[in-house]
Amino acid sequence: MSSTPLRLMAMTAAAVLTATATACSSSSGDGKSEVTVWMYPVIKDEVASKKFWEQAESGFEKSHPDIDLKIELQTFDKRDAQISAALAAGSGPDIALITPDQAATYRSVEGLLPVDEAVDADRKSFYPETLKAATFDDKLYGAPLFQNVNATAYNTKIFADAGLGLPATWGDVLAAAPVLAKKGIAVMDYAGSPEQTLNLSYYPLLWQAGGTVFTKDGKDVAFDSPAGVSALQFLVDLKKAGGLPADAATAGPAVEGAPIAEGKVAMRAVTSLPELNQMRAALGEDDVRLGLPLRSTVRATYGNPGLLALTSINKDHNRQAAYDVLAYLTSPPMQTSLNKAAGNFPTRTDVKAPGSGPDFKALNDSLQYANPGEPSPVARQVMAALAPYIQAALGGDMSAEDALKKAANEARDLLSRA
Amino acid sequence: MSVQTLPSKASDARPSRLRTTPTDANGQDARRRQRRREAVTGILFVLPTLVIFGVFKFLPVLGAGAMSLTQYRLNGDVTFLGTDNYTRLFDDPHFWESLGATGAYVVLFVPLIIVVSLAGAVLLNKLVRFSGTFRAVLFVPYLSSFVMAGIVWSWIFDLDGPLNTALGGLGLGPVPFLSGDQWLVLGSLALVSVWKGFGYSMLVFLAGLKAQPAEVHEAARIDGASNWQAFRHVTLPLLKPVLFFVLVIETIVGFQVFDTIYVMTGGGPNRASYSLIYFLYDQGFKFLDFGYAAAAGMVLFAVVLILSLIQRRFVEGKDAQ
Repeated sequence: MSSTPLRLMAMTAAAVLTATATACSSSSGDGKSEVTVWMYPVIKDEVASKKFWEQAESGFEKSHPDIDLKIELQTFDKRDAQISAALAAGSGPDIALITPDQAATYRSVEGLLPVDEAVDADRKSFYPETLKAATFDDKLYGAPLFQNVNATAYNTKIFADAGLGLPATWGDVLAAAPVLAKKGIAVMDYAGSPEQTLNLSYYPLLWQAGGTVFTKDGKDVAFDSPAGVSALQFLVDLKKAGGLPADAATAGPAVEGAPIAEGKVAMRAVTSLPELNQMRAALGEDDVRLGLPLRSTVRATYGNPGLLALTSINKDHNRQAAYDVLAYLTSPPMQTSLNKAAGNFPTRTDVKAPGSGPDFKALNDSLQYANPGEPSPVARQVMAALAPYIQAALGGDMSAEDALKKAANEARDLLSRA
Repeated sequence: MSVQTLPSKASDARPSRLRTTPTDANGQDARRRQRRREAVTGILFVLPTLVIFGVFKFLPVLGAGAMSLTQYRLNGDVTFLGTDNYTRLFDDPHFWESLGATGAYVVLFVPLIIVVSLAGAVLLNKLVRFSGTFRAVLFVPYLSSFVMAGIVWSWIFDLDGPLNTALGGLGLGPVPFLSGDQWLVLGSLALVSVWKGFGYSMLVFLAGLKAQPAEVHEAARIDGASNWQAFRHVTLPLLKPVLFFVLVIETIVGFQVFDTIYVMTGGGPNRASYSLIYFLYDQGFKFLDFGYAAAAGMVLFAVVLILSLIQRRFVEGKDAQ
């Protein structure tokens, strides 16, 4: 018999029972300071990723013989659950790779510590935007490790065969939708699964419409504005015109095995070069091209710095060791080699982009339109409140305006409790 | 003619076996020692289970109960809230939505898994040859992981998947198994859970069938009962305790549904499959609201506990009969 609730209760209860009693194993038997880092598949190739981080670990320990660095590779699946359960139980990592909106959430429950001292020496070398995305109440809660950005990948053959140009605006997309729908092809991909972050689905459209998720002071939500409604209406109109895959409301973000890889969808936002390469492997090298993010009122996309955050697990006696690790991992040589392996962009002005050519140019040009996500202590809760209503609108169960109004009421309730 | 004399004292009325002699006293001591030894041996046998149960089940439940009365932060700060989390929970429409979705899922899942597992057990019980092989084959899905099952069935249920392709061949569909209305989505998820889980209940039913006395079935046959009549009036009544055991166990399993939903629908579309455990998972591990999640967990625990007590009462009642 499955015992899922008891397991979950055990995890939460274990947090209570162990948190007070746990002394973090931050100092190894040989007197060295021990620092644990949870790293995620930034480098998509598993073997290459393992090799890279092993080399990073040994490289650091060679220059810091008094520190025992452990880089543990995790998966993106259930990242929040894994980190929060571990931190609550007092057994998590000293440092974890997270996004800016996650940083806002973890910080709100006292799960993070400031890292200003770790980057102070090099602060001027970081792009200000990457530091801004991790700054809350004038303190830095994450050392920017890399920068990624979403750009638009097109199946050029589909558009050429239909005699259409590559859509650059919402108007172009809406115009192409019925033409391609007649051929059984959806013009644009959309991943509406509630498990998918809205940073990669609805929010970029909201930003393109000139809207925001939260008001400037962060005290209210703003996605139910006319801009928000027009963004959702754009999706609803596309769905009606056959411009989205039939399962768009519930689909996940995968490329492999998805309609985009089968030539049944003509364009989508891609988050990384490996994702683009998956499309090329499925559709042919010459039939996939990378372009700028879409534009409506403005051109906008999601692009966030990957942040190395210091967790509440880290204690005073190995704080400096953790700062040393953060400084090492975000240093120019490390960023250079990481970005080369992962296809991401640097967060420092003294590190060059990892390549050249049209793909890198498109990504590099897209960086100026990148929004790192809107950090709020309830950013994730608001996403969870909003996602089902987007599904409802896409399913035709309610209008775009009603869906956003209802979602906003829930989100305001969340904010009032935050 | 013999005359029976009554005992003169109350103590004389005691049966002779209660009168003790030195030899009897030694024997009683030996028996007491033996019983003590057996008791100690028994306790030693169950001790590991008791310890494991205590540490991994009982203490966490106590901890969760305590946590449900607090706001717990990741740095270990705890604020006592009293029953605030419960008040908030009972005012939360998503809690009731998730309870409703879970109830609807249980209504679909439980009858289906009982019918399928009972049918499987009856068929296996009839088999004379290869029954072991079939038993193993039918049990295989139970051993597979929910994630694997979820991925495979997501593909099967896909709008372009094999099931809809087959329905298309019959001029039907496509059916939005995982993106349609709530009953369709929950039914599809229940089907996957039945496929994955029926092996366990099937074996329980099979054990119950094997334990039935052959002479009762033989008598039914001699009396001219058809197969259906024998099943309906002999097999099923004899199987009632097992049937109710499975009913309660599968109802509890139904209330605990999470993995299938997590993999296949993420609680959607539009919260159609947002189960109580999913609600708990979101609150605790996505939103880091541990106290609130613990309150939801305690409510679920109460539901499961009540169902378990009903089961115990029923089984005890049957044993008494």
